[in-house]
Amino acid sequence: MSAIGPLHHIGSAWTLWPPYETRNGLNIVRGSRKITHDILTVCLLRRGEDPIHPDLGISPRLFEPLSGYAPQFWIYNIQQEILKWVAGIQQLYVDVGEFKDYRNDLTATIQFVPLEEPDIHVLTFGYYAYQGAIWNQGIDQLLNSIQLDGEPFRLTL
Amino acid sequence: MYEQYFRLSEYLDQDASLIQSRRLYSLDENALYSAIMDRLAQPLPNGEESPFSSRSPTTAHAILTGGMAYYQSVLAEEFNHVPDRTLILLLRLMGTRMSIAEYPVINQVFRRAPESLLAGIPAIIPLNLEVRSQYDPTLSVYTSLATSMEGTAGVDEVEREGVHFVNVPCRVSRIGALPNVRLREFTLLPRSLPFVSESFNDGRIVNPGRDAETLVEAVLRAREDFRTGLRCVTARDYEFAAKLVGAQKVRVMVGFSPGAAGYFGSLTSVVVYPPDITPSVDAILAERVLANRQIFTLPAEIIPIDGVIKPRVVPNLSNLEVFNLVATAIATEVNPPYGNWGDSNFAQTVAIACERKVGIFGVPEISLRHTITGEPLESLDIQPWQLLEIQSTLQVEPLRT
Repeated sequence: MSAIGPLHHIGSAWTLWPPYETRNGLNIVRGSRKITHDILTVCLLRRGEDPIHPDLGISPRLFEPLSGYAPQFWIYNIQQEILKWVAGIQQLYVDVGEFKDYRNDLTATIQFVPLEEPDIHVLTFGYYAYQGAIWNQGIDQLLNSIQLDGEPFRLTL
Repeated sequence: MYEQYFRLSEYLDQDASLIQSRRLYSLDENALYSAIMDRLAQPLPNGEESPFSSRSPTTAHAILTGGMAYYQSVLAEEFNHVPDRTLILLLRLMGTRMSIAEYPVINQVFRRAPESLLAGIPAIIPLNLEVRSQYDPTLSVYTSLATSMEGTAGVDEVEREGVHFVNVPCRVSRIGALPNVRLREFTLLPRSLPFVSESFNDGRIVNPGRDAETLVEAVLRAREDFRTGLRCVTARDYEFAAKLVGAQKVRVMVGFSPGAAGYFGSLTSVVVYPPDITPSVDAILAERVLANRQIFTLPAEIIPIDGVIKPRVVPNLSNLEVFNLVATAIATEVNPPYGNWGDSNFAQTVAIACERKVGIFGVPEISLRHTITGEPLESLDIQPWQLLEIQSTLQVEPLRT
């Protein structure tokens, strides 16, 4: 039994993003990676998809436009949902910005300060890849674009 | 058209099996979900923290568990909607029939009148003779065969069956399980029956009778039948077969036999309680066992235990009441067929059983020993095929401070 450290109370979990690693088997996350994983789940689950928790996830709006979607709505909604479902966050900041203007791309940035760590973590992913993943395209492009603190989320820390 | 409708409703009123039965599966998916999540969050056997210790609904294991619980509840809900009529049809397709009610049969003794004994006139007991209950006017028994008492005998001669008295199995008038019947309840003979001095039931039951099987019982029985398939493969099959012939407690041990050192790959030892059921268990296992499998059926070894128990009790209980409490706890939870096989924490089992009784706070002192050898319980080497049985020589000394 290891000693109780920071963020021990949120426990460890099996993550879906991605669910396994070639070398280590099941992908188990803890600490700030667990928080990142929870945020991604809230972003990617549709409301009603989990029958036991029908309120979990973000609800798509009826007749939501596939293009020309204003990210401000998403920023507001996702902040509320993350604060509602994810444990262990002291401060949260969500923004969508044009960091790669020449490629006509938008990047979603989610910054959070965990409860017991004097540290800020930055989670970024491509906004259009994300929209594609929750609408009608594959999830691989999104998974490749997810970065936590400047490193791909797929790597184990 | 209305006529058809009335006919249908009349039919539905008569057919009791179409009345809504109780739910076979009452599945609470939220309780199931919580239970699985709790189980996943338990520490590993080596003391390490579980990798699934988080219970937040966003984790992968929570999503998987939730989906599983949900689909299970959907299946249970669907199953509950299957009407009885369909279930009966399915049971018939599987070759299961719902067993019907049976009349109970009890033994009735008829005594010959002294005058017919001395004169040698036979006393004839006809078939379907009614003997009525002296307590319940609606209850009676009917003889199921015709007999007679014949021959002569002196006054001082030893009584012989067929001359002085005769035993006749009699059907009780009420179908279903045997109602509460008192000894010598059926004594009212018809006046027209000559040369029979008296008749009474002596308490012997030929067939206890049976209520009609309910649908739930039929489903459960069919499931058990399909599980075992008249053949013993797993430990549960051995247990099921042994319990069919009346064993109350069964222990199945694969690979070794009590009293013999070493491992025997093809051997299965079956220990049964009560001990005198062993030949019947042996017979039923012999016809169900797989080829090349050796069966060793043996009775449970029962170790007599007594000693001193000092329970801390409510002050206003008398010593006799405390003894009765302890004795009830032991008889209903500890002594065979209730205890555990090879119980190495037997003193704790006894103490916990006593503490469950209202009136006993706790059992701070308990010292048990072998009744015959006097050896203390701690030094006994309890084996897994042994059962411990507390004897009536147990001393109970209540503490009231």
